[in-house]
Amino acid sequence: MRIYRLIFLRELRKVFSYKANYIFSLMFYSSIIFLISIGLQGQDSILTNVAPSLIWVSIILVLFLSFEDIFHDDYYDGTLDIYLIENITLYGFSLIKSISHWLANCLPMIIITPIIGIFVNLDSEIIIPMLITLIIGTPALSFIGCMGSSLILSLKIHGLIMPIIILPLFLPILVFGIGALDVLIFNGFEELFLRQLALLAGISGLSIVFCPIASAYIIKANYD
Amino acid sequence: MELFVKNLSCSLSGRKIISDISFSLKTGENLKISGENGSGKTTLLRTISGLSSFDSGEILINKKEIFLLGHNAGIKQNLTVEEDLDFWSNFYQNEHDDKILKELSLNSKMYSQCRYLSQGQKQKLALTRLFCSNKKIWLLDEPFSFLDEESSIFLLNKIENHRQNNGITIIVSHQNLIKNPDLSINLGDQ
Repeated sequence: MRIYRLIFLRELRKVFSYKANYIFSLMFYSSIIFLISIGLQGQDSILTNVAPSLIWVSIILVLFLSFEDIFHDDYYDGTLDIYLIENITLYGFSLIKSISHWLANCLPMIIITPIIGIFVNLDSEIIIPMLITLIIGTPALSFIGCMGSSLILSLKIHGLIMPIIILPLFLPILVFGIGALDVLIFNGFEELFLRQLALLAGISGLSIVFCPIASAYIIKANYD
Repeated sequence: MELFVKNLSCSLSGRKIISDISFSLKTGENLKISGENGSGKTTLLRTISGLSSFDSGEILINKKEIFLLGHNAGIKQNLTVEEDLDFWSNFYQNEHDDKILKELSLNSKMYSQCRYLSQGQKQKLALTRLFCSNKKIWLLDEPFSFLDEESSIFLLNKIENHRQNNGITIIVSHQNLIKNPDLSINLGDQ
């Protein structure tokens, strides 16, 4: 456990020491939202209704930029070799990578969402539920993204392979994430919102349990 | 503690790289592996360390005692030398030796990010991890690459000390710096 804690702290230090990485992600996220709000200028009611969808889709687009690098450095700079020799389980390592990815990429975007929401006329009553769906749903994005990243580990040229493979896996998250908020916007608070939230939590839970296992097998297969 | 390799054969992408190699090393012995580029020196080290699978043969080794110094040493570009050293000393639960840092002229680079180190300095940083690890079986893949003369002599002395402390060392090297290895294999002769 001590070694996994050390590796986790090292990962966090690594991702946060390269500030440009997450600052560019935040800038890209803000830019997408800002451009859409300019595009739909003067149509405030439309913007209010589609704001949750815009935010969810923007977050997914921004995250795609970060997925490719998750295991890439560790594979090519020899870190994975060392961990394998030292008997660090690939499951534990994938779990650490996914959690640090969420902390470095999703969490900053969630934090600035209430501010970004102003551009897309996000209803003030929707801000808290929006944050709840993001906090519950985005871990699934990070964990599935990590699994996708392990798929392209040893490919020198991968292009759009990963987005094509993992985009369908994001659909349920997107459907229930946006669906829950749409229920609130169009019908007001009702049980359906909680049901969609529960489904979202279920998907995240399954991703947290199974994606590191799949990642570990895929990484091992890259070695064999 | 001993190391046995018996009738080992390995392939890489369907091509036979190593065929039917056997050797054994006892404590306090070292082996020098030489051979032309692509003859399978690195593959042999990776196979012994358990990173690569093999077609046939047998390897008997205490895996907990292996240290592999490969072409890439797990150095993170945006961490500082100090952060890297601290991580590995905590990892191996063994303080890094300030004397070694001084000998390798790394003490003045403690707060530099690893991206700004030269190849030689990165190699020296990788060596500090080796000395910090306290492992008994050293698998060194071109350990003298990029090192200046002074650091090469320092490493040679460390390898000799390791041998005297009953450690096993397998060295892949193009240079003739290891003068009297206990065993020598030229993979080009296969």
